[in-house]
Amino acid sequence: MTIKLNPVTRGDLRSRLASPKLLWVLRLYVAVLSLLVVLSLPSEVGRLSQFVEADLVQAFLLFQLGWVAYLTSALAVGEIGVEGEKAVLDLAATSFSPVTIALGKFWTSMLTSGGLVLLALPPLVLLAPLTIGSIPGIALAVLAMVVLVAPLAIISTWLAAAVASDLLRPVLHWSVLLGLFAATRWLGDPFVLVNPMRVVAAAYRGAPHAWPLALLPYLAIAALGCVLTGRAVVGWRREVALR
Amino acid sequence: MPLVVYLLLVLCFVLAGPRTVALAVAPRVSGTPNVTADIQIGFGGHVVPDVWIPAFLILRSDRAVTGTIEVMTVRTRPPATERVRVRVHLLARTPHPVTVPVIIREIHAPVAVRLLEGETLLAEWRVRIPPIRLAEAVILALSDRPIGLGRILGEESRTRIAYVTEEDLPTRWQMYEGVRAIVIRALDDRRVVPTQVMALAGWVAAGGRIAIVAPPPADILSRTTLRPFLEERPLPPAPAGKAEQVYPWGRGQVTVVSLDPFRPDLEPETAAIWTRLLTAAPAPPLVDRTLLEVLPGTLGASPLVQLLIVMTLGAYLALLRPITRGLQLGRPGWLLAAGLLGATTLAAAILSAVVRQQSSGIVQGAVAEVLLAGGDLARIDTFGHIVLPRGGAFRVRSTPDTLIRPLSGAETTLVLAEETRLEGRGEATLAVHATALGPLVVRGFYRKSPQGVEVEIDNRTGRMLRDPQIFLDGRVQPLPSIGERVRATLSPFHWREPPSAEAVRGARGRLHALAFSRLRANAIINPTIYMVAWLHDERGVLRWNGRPAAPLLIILPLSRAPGDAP
Repeated sequence: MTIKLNPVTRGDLRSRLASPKLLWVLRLYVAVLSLLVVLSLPSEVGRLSQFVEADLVQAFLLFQLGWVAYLTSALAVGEIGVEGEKAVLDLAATSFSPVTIALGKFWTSMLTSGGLVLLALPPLVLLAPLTIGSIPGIALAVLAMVVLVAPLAIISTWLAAAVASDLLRPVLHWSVLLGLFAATRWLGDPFVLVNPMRVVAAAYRGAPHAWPLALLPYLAIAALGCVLTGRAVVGWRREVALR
Repeated sequence: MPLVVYLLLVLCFVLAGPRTVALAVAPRVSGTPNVTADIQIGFGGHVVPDVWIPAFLILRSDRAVTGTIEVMTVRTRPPATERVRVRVHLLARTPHPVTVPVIIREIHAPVAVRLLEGETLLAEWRVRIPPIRLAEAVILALSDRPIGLGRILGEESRTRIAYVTEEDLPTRWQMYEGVRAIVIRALDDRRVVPTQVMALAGWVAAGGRIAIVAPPPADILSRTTLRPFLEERPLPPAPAGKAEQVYPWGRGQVTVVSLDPFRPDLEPETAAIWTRLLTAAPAPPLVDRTLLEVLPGTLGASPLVQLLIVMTLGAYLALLRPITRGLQLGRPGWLLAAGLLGATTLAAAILSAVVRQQSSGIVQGAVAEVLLAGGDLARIDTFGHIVLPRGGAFRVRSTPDTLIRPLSGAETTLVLAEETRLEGRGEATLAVHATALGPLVVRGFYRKSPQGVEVEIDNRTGRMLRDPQIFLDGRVQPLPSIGERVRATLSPFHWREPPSAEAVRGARGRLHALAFSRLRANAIINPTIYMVAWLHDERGVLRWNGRPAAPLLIILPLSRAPGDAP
């Protein structure tokens, strides 16, 4: 059995897995999450009796969400540069179709966020209660995390293609991050549920039951991101053809 | 006809008096004995809520029974069921008195009393407590003239008078918790057993008050039960001159008053003295449930497990390189990466299970305050959290003289046998309080001189007193660990401020700081020099299987050395 990957995705993953810089980024990511787990083990942290196990797992998942969202989107926007990885405009110069490029970048982000989630398994297992009942909540929360991060990453990919200024691009990237994580906290009910932290917490706790509906806007953003990225490729090619 | 029956019932109740709250015959099941019980909750039937009070039972059975008496109380906020079990050996057709310590949380909930033989229920009675029996505190009166004391308190008072007999005096000092004072006008030594005398002495030492009515010729003062209280020199000056003499006894006191409050023609002077004596608040214990605030709510993993966790996570960081490299090598590489990730996750899961297994247990702080230096008596108060991160059953044990009470809602059973056990089921954390009195042979003396304060500690506990510190005027000075005896002169330049509970880390450090803050508050009233030290002793401390018991924090008031001028 062979897995047929999008050629863009295959190239990106090969570059990322071979990158020494990314290895250090991964080490930092795992080390920070591990530190959170180690600090939560002694009695000093547990002194607050109301800060019980379930809250600790939820806090871990939200902390992890922040890291996964930042790393995935920063890799997509080029804020964390990976040696050998081709940007959207580099790929536009190749024979790949705009759809292949856009979907390839989307799958790259999906697999990157999925990999980051998988790499955090050992520290998460240390913290989470080992009961059958706790597994669905945690599984849904990490799945929701991947679904939430991928649209953010594909929008970042589009930003990398559409914004030429090296100064403006990180500003816009951080604005998108802050807008998604911070600004949505001020939305009124029920729109506040689209806040990614609320979505992950709801997926973990299983309440409110309608939390999967909050993923629909993210899927729409992912589709929009793919379209915009494809259009950026088409636009660039048209511009080159006009010259 | 129904009216006649009703009047007869009322007449029976009036004739039975307040003593009998419930007289019940258990429904008879074939093969079970016919058992009757005369049940009274609280002294004189008066119930002081949320404190240990006695439940008096007189059981009669038509055959011998070796079983257990269980008294069950319930409360709704938070929901809880609390049982107390004591063993009984009933002889056929012989009245058998039993006193069970109970805590009534909500007066409207009936108290269930059960007689069990093994696990077989032989009889069950339900006792309803009339709201009128609710009291703020109780004053016990031992008198051959059981009337007249109530007029001193007045009708507004929520403190009730209970006229009791010598047989009613409890054998556990904790059951006096709701008692404000004991007035003794008549006492027959022959009707008092040594355990009752010890309980009485322990209660007074822990802060209780006895008032002895001794009009001339004061024969009552020669009673064997009372004589030990009167051997010390009375406190000068007596507030009411010759009519009143106060003898200190630990944290409590015994007052001898020559004016009789039971006389029908009560004089204003006598009424004033007795009003003051009967309304004085008892001395509070040195530590209370605020001790729980300095204790952690959870148990940490052992240092070895923590080290293993750090090593595992460190190894995982090192494995990230082969994992990422493996993902580039096709299927064998993927299998390698998956294997490494799976193995690390499995190791983490095993360590997680170990941590969780270690995280159930008890976190406690135990403080022993030496009350009677001469009598070597100490009050041990242990507050703790029973920590059950995933809920479930628990069992904590202590010495037989200890009573353990849950402070939060849970289903608990207190078993009073060769050892005291608190068993039950709980969710997450259950706060408990254990209290006991016991001998603790540690004596301390001080002498003030121009060179500083000279202290002498005589430790006969057979164990080392660790990290001892002398507390004087709100400041502390450390001493070296004490084996049997130490004599040291404390330099006037080495006193320092004790740390506050917020500034120290660790439960032991915070407990130390709490004790100093209490002593500082207490020093305004009682400017005594104290020694504070740790002692590894299991008395009064709660034990959890497989875990070492917490050490006792001893608080020893030092006496002025013989011959030292005040």
